[in-house]
Amino acid sequence: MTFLNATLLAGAAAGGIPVAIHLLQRRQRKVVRWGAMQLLSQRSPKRNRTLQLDHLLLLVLRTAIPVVLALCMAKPLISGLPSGDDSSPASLVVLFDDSGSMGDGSAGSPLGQIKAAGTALLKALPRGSEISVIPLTDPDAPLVERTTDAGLAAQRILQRTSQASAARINESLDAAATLLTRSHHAKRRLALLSDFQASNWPAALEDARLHTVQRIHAQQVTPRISIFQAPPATTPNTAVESLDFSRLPIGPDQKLRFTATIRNYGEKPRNNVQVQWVIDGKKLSSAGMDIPPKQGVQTAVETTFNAPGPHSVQVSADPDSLPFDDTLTAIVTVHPPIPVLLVNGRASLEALQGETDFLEIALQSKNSPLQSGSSFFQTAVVEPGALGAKSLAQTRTVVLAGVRTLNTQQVRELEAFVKAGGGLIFLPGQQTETVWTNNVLHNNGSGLLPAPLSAFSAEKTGQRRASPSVSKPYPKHPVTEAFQPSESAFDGLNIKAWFAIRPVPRNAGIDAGPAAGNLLSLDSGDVLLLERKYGAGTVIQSAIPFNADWSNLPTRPAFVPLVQRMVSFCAIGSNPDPNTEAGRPLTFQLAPRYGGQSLSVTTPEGKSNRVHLQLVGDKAVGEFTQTRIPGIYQIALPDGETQPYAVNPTREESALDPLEGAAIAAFAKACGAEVSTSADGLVSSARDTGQGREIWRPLVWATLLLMLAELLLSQRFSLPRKAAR
Amino acid sequence: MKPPTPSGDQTPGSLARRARHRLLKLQLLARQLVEGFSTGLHRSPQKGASAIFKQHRPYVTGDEVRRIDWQLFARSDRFYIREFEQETSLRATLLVDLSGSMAYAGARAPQSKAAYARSLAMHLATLLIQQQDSVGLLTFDSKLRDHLPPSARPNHLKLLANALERESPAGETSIGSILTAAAPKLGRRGILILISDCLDHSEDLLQAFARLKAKQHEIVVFHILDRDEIEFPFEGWTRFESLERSDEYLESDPSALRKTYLENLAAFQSQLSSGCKRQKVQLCPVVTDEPSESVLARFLVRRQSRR
Repeated sequence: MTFLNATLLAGAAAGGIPVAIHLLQRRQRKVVRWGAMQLLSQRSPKRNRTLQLDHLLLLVLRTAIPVVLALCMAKPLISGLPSGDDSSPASLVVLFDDSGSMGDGSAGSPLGQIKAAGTALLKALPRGSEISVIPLTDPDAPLVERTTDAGLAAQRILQRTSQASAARINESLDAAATLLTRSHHAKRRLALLSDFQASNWPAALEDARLHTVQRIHAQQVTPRISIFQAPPATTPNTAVESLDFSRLPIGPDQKLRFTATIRNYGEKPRNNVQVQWVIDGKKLSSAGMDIPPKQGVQTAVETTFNAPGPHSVQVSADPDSLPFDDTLTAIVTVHPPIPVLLVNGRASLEALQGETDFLEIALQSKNSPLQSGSSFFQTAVVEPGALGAKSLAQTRTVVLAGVRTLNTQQVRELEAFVKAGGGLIFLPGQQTETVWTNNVLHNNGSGLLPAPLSAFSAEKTGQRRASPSVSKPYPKHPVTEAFQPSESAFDGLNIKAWFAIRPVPRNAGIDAGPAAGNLLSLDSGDVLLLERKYGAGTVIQSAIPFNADWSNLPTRPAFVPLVQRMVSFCAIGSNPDPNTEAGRPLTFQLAPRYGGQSLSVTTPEGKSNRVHLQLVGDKAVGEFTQTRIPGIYQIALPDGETQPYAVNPTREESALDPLEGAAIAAFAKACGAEVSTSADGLVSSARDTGQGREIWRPLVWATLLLMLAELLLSQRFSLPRKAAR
Repeated sequence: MKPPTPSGDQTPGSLARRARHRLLKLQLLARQLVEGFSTGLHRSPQKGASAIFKQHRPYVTGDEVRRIDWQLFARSDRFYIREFEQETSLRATLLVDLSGSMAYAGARAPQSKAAYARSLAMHLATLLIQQQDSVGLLTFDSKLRDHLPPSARPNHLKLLANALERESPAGETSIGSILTAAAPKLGRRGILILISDCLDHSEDLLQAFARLKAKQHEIVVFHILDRDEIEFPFEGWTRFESLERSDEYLESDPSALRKTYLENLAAFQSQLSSGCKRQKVQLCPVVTDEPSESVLARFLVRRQSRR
């Protein structure tokens, strides 16, 4: 025997109340030695034993009433017996596929077919049945949850349109399993209505799926599973598969190249597919393309943006029966020129002998992907003494190049600058005070620098060592990603001397601050470039100065892009990509001054939502998860600055190929279900008499009888009603 | 409400030292009471004018010379003594119920019903003996306990007090059968004064009254009840344990019992009252918180008015 509402069994504890009252009254009762006993009752006086039996009987009755009532409310189920009652209500969980591949919801589309099957299933349910409908794209938000209103459930199914995201089969099965365990009826059914699109059923997750199915079968009341497969859409589908462009920061008037891939998922070639580019709402170009079957064709445009700020780029192909994947939108942020403050620790009148000479040249070079045609960096060179709040207020990134020391005020202002989101690049030099640097700038990990400067390696051993090489592969990082394809950018690099810098281990027993990441490592075991977040800003620490005395790095081809990427990365940081996929959350990591405030997210439908920004460490962090609808989401920061985010439909749904029949059959077998392809077949396969008999009705009668017996007996025994409290 | 205790109902052995004092007090109270009433309520033989002539009897040695009827002697030359009605020997027997139920004493009552019954019996005995009537005593519960034949001697009061003090209330009530069984011991016609709570089957009681009335006895019943037995003031879960049977009790909420109890009591009192009236038995309801002087006064006034 099992219980459908086992938690209500706890109510049986109320059976202890009459016993407790009885014991309490026995303890608190008064004793009166009385003469006129025959006047107390018209009946003959009771003897002690009889009275004890009366009391015991009443006590048993009063104890039994709450116990039986609790049993009744817990809805006991005798598993071994058939229900024997087809009209008794059932608990039904419908897994409703509303993924993008289901089409536009017309009668012939897969969505239209599963709507018809679902409503027919609901119509055939006995009155009082409990219905839950879980959309496969968003199992955490059921359309209806344990409602007895079949009309409402049918209405929600009919109103549902296909979503821009993919079906989440495993999560949906998990959600169904949870709902089934909370069902109230002995007859339990699970109906899966889907087009069984192959991309939604990855083989890698098959074991997890089958495990969930086993978990459903292992429930105390085993539900009956029914499967309805809607035939896939026959219309050939053409989709804008991807839109690629450089994610590096760009400035105004810089050329940016966009490449789109248009794929034909159909079996037949498609000719003269019109592909249109729209920039900031204005049509840029349009061209017809011939696309062979099952292949993709690329098209590209190159454009410039005049004004800083976010710009939208949209590429669209001819609409078809699956309109959700015919368009892709991207947001490109054009940054204003980046002011860079170069603090020169060793000025020199000779050419290229100063600590910042090569840096200045590199940042002014226009022959680079970052800086083509116009200047993206505005450099200013100052001596260490000129570093202060005033100069920091006008820059985004500071480069400390071979600076000996700074005074306390300068260090404090520099720390505040970085914490607020500024960038710092630290380059050691011949004259750098190692002890001061470690004590003040590293400060056991709580300072600006991620690592202390250890011994000067060339001098450490007292003899010159062979030049170390840059370790491969290069770590995956925005600064080095451009060098990753060939990984030969730093070949031939000759480093004569370097500071041994290594990140402080996390278990060093000191406050090591946020974890540091390697940008480039040396095969000597040391790190060449180390990066760490400090507050909302970024710090990059180098083991060598960028001059010709220590290495030949400034003369290597990789030097200019490396410096420009380092500076732009420090200046702009790793802001989250404003382009994402429907269903994935938008995450915000902002300066700590925004902590405790909230930003506004306006959805494509025009609904405004507030997102609270929580201070986590030195960042204000927030997340917006309701990105089910594709389009442009406008984010308004607390200070009024706005940033659009592009949310595009997933491309997983574009390939309409269904799962192989054998795989569907294997899944159905694991579920103990038959696969129906018609609404009638689904209804008949879902009809069953249940696998257990509920006995709560007899228990209700038993409770009533017990209450009646208690009433009669208490009157008969001349015991007051209030003793039954 | 404090549970009542059967005060004053201990055995004589346990009251050895207090017995003499209480006895003296009882006698003194009775005497004061009776003397107080005798001035205005009784036809005393000492008043002379109120004496009613009844008969002559021959003089026997020991008779007072002043009571010889000299006029008759002159006519008949024989000594005769004049007898008046009051001087006719009245035989009164006090029937005192000392069953267990008489031990009840409510929290508001100054004494138990048994103590009250003793006091009332002594008052009556003192009154009667002062009137030179004979007073006997019969104490009982479900059986006869003690019996003192009627006597008019002044020192008989002491015997009566001793007998009353010696017995403590216990046992079940069976008044009807006791009166029936005691009838032969009651001798010739007289006054039978029953002092009891009458908690017995009223039919048995009334039948016994009928038998005694058939033997020309006059019957007076002092029906003694405690105030608690009239009002049933108990609250809260209570266990009522019988004073007469150790294995009998009832555990309940008194508020649920009150209505039925009061109805039963009223029916019992009504039955007893109508039965007594039918058989010309004088019934005097008494509550133990009422001073016994008032009770006795009421009784005497009532008897006076009946004459």
